[in-house]
Amino acid sequence: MASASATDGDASDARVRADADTPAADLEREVLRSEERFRLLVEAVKDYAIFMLDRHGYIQTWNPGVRRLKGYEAEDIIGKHFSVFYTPEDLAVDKPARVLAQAASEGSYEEEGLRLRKDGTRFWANVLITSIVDRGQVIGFAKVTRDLTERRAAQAALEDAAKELETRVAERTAQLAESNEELAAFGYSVSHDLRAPLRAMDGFSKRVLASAAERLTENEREQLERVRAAAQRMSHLIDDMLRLSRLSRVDLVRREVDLAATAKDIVDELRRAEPERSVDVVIEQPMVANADVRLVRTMLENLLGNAWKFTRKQAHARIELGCSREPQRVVYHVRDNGAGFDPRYAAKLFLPFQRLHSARDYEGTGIGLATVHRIVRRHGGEIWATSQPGDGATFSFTLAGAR
Amino acid sequence: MSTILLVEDNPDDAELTLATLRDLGIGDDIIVVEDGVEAVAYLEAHDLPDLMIVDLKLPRMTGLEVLAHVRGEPRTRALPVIMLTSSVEDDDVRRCYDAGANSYVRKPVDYDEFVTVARMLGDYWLRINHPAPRSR
Repeated sequence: MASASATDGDASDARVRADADTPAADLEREVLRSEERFRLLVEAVKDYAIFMLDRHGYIQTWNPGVRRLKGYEAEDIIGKHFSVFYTPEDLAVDKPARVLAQAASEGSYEEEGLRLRKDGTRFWANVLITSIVDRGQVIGFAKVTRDLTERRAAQAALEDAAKELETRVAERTAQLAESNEELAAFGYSVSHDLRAPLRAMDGFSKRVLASAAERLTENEREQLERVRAAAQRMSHLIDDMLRLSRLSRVDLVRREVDLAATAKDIVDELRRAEPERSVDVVIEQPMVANADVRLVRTMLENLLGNAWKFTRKQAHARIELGCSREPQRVVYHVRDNGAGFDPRYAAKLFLPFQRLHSARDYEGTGIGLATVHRIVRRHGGEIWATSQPGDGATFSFTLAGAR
Repeated sequence: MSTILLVEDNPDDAELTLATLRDLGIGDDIIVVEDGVEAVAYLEAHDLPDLMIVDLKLPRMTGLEVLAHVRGEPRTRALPVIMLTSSVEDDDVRRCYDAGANSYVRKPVDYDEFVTVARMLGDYWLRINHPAPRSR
């Protein structure tokens, strides 16, 4: 590198003269220090191969990074053209010349690509070439090369992992779709095949009851009737199970539902089925929800049907359907003054086939509240119940997640 | 002389249906075949029955396939077919009507209901064999 000293001389002369206490000597000392700092910096850098190129692309300097990245010692490479780092493919399209031209015209050029080591192996590199300009003339280039092999390997690993994840998600989705289909096929098979033996039990019992009526004792007739009743109970269980499993498969279509009108329909049906009962039913008007019409009807059938059933022993039965507006949500409730339940078992209330009352007192398959729970959950809502035994029950629910 | 062809693979169901139809005096001759392939073979080899009662879920050739075959053949195209099945799926009902079933009847577990169903079949059979005079 050229010395800033105006006078020719060897290094010791310069150092001697730099000791002199003149402004020119101060400047010279400063320049020498700066050059030394720069040299030390470049030589200390091992992760970057740093070269100075002349304006034609011939290599003029070396640093330890060149050895580390490319395997060249200083004597191997100084004086060679920088195109030795380029692959035959790049050379075929005259890339080195184009790169220098661009660095010269735009000030710098940066890219990532494959470069060659001394031994001919390739590595993925980030290359930055900056032109050095003196009085409007490009006099050379600084070239900094960084080895991105590790980063690229990490990136590739990340891409592989992402691809692997995608594959796994696709596999799981396919498995889920398959098990859904299997579940549907299972449900179909259950509805068809489990019912057939029950039909035979019920049908043949009835035929024997009819044809052998005179020969059977009262007790024998009763036992055959119990076979029939058991078959029919099991048939109802199968129906309920199928309904519950279908609930998870049907599409949920939300629109405005008149809960008050739906509830009134259901209560009218309950009254028709048991006209001898007198039940006070209070339904808040108007009451609408944005929900699936069919599912909400099934839900209210179960909740109101339960309230109807569990108030059977009440002299003055009363059922209420209402709602309250909270800041973030609307909470609906069905309240009755019937048998209620022991709050210690509240957690079991919404599980399928769990019953908190004996079948002798209150008939049922234990699927109603599980059905209600599933419908509420499918709407993104919540359901909870409060009660004291003998003091009625209140079922509260929402039909959407909190806003 | 009227003939009913009953296509039913479950022997219990076949016997109950047969016995009940006989009790009710429906059909002079009831032929029972066990699957769709046998049903098609029967139709090809014999005079046509007056009514076919077909279970939906059959081995080898399903009830729907039997129905499609019957509707596809010029000779059997107008044969009254009732699908009698234990399926409660709405899709099955729709598929049966789409394929040209004259009626779709669900087999109930409760035999008392089944007798009602059989009476309905009998009514159907009667209408086919003794059409009411057309009113003007």
